[in-house]
Amino acid sequence: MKTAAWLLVGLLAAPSFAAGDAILEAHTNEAFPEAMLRVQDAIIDHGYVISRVQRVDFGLTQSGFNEEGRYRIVFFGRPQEIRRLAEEHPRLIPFLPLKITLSQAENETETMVLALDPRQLAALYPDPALAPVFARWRADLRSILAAADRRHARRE
Amino acid sequence: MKNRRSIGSLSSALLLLFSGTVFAAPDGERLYQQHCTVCHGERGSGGIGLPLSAQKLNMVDDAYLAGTIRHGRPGRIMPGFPALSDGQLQALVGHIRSWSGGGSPRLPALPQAGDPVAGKPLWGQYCAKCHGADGSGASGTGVTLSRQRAFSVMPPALNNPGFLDSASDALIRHTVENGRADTPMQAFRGSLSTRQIADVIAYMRSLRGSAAPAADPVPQPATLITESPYDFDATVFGLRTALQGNNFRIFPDRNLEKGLADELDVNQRQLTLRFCNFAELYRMLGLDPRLGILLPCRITVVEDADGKVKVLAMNMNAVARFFNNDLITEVFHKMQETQMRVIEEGLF
Repeated sequence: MKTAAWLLVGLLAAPSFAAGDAILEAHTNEAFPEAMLRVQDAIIDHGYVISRVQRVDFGLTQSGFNEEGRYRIVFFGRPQEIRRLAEEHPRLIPFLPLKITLSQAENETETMVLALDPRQLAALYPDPALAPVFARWRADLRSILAAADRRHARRE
Repeated sequence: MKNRRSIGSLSSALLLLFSGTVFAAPDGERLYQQHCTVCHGERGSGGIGLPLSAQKLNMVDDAYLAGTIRHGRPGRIMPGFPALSDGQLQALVGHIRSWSGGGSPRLPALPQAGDPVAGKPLWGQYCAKCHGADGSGASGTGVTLSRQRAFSVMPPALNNPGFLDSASDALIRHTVENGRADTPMQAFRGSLSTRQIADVIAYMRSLRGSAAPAADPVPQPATLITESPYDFDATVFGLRTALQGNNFRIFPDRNLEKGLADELDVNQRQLTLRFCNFAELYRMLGLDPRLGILLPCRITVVEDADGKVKVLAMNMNAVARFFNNDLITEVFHKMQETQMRVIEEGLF
């Protein structure tokens, strides 16, 4: 009975998975600063610490590319978890801390909010000890992106 | 007995669940939301994926739309959805059509098969300028930092197997004769005879490429780890010098835990060197604006408890597949070579 119940739970909970779904993605029509704030608030609400925001657009503009487009990357993690993973699984270091990218092309009203789907990491690092970590990251990232998704928001 | 009854009830529930899934008519709107919205936007407004405007939809038939969804564009950003049933494809196409207001156009078949040999010079004269001599089209994708929504269409790769398997000769003829409104694709009715168009199509089909990047014969590790013969500080110095020698702009080094832990508690023996070539980055964001999810221009130097110093970097060749784009695979391959050169020079 228990097995059958788990089968049912599995059937109901199985996520839809389209080919090429390596990237988690949300869209918002909120103004860029509001979208950024919403993402950061959601990250903190999920128990993470934001370590920095990298302004990629700033570097592009300084180098003579890009005039109005926005491209920022938010780095975040749980301090103890990042420390533990770096010590016990140093191979993960190039993917740490976690990242969410916000991108808005010039003259666009829509901001893309993007993250690598941790299922990809699970495939690259098939270690049973890491599986629950990747699963939780995925659930959190999906939840954070869902909080940022404001496709029908009115732009100021 | 009680257990047997419970299992029976559960089986019935499962049966109902499955029968509902199997026999209910596919919901095109739900399928669109599930598979298409993130790239093409709600109601086809476009994004990373091309806009699905009424004008464009009215130029193509249902078979082309269904084929494009099923096959995708191997090696380009549009993934294929081979697991969708015919009914689901039909529902999706129906939903997409619902906002264009038009139906599938009736396309007259070509009266005769073309001759690729005769089509080659015509291709060179009329098509190669935009679509390339080999039919590979232009690079890039939907809305990016380097290409805005106003320029929503670029010359597509006509040698792509996904396109060739989706577009009938009749559809291609229709496009060649009538052009595409609001794009540089002009109408060639009057310039090319039906016979010549058939020849061009035959030549186009001969250009069919293997657009999908070759799969790696051996699965690659996602992290490249190199043991340094030097101590921590000398390793960092050597790598920094090598990055400068390879014309990268270098940003201040950053400890892995910086910003996460108290400044005094940060592990000083985990240092990330950050660098960038902005010209290359700008070009890459034009290929796919989502590349920032990896931010690969980082090399981390770590000293473990035994005093061993290791250099860690992302294996670009292993992660390129995330983007389903052979242009990115090619760029990542070159970046990987550069990264390895930097590490070799830095540890020399």
